[in-house]
Amino acid sequence: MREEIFATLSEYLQEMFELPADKVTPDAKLFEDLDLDSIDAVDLVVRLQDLTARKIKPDQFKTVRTVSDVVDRVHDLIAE
Amino acid sequence: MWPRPERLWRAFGTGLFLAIIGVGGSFLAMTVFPLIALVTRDREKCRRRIQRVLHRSFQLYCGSIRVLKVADVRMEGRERLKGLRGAMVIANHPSLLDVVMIMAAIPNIQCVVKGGLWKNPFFRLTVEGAGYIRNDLEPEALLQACVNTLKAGNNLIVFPEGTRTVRGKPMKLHRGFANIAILAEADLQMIRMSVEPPLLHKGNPWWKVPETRTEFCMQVCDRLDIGRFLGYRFRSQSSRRIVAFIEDFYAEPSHHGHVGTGPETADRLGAEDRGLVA
Repeated sequence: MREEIFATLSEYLQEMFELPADKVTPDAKLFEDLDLDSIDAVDLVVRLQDLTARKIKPDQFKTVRTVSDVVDRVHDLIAE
Repeated sequence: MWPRPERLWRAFGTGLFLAIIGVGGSFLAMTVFPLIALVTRDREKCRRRIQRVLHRSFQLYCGSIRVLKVADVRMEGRERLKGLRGAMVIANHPSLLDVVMIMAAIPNIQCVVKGGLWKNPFFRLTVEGAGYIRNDLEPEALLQACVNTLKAGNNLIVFPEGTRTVRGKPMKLHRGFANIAILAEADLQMIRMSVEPPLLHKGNPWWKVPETRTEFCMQVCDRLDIGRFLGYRFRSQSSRRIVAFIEDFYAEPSHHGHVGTGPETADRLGAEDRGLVA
């Protein structure tokens, strides 16, 4: 399950933010390492709704820092 | 050996004009602008009047520096600014005079200013009266305020580096300005500022002026049609294209000077260490 989410997320990140695949590691920090900005983050959350098939409130992602944090969050949302 | 009188004059003049910014600004804020606010009930009219006085004052300021031969102040490509409306004006930021020169050249221009100015009732009246945007808003609100003013047809000055240009170093741009331009669908009017030889650069007191007279030059460059950067599937792709283009543009031969302390500029977006969604 988590692997699938990571794979899809990695695909999104590469496509939306033009990142090379090898930069998108679970430990990569979204802002520092992957150079996302706050508006990028909002766009990403909107896109993640495809995965969770439900609306995500932006503050559900407030504490997210790394790629694996996003995976955890999405996993929790799907499991709910 | 004593320096030439001409150089002494420039040293004196440099200090004088630094002082005028503070003294003159405070004077206007305490006399002219309250008066305008008092007699102008209509907010929009008041805004235009305050802006016009600021515009004229900046013209006078630049003109005086030139006429008194403290420095040369020059503009290239003025004709390109004709009919500029709803555009984001972007520039490198080598000196304190950048904002002044740009605002003297473009009448209907807005800027983002330090939120701290709102603490002083007189300055607050000035910046709020002129419709300027405060930089301590939440990132989303700041972004929206910038988009709104552009959509209303005002021009907006933004220094994409978010701080002053460091001489000899390539510009590192924040992406906030690109996001604003995309959301407002505003064209980008590029301006290249130069200061040669440098004056008031870091670690150099104001009275140590260079051998020869400094030239401040404002070069009005191309106006970029935002349309050429839109049409990608994701906004994030557009903003990255814009930033790459602008970085390339300013990396080309230019004379990056470095002067004094400039007002902080907007563009905090993307620069902050925060959670995924604010």
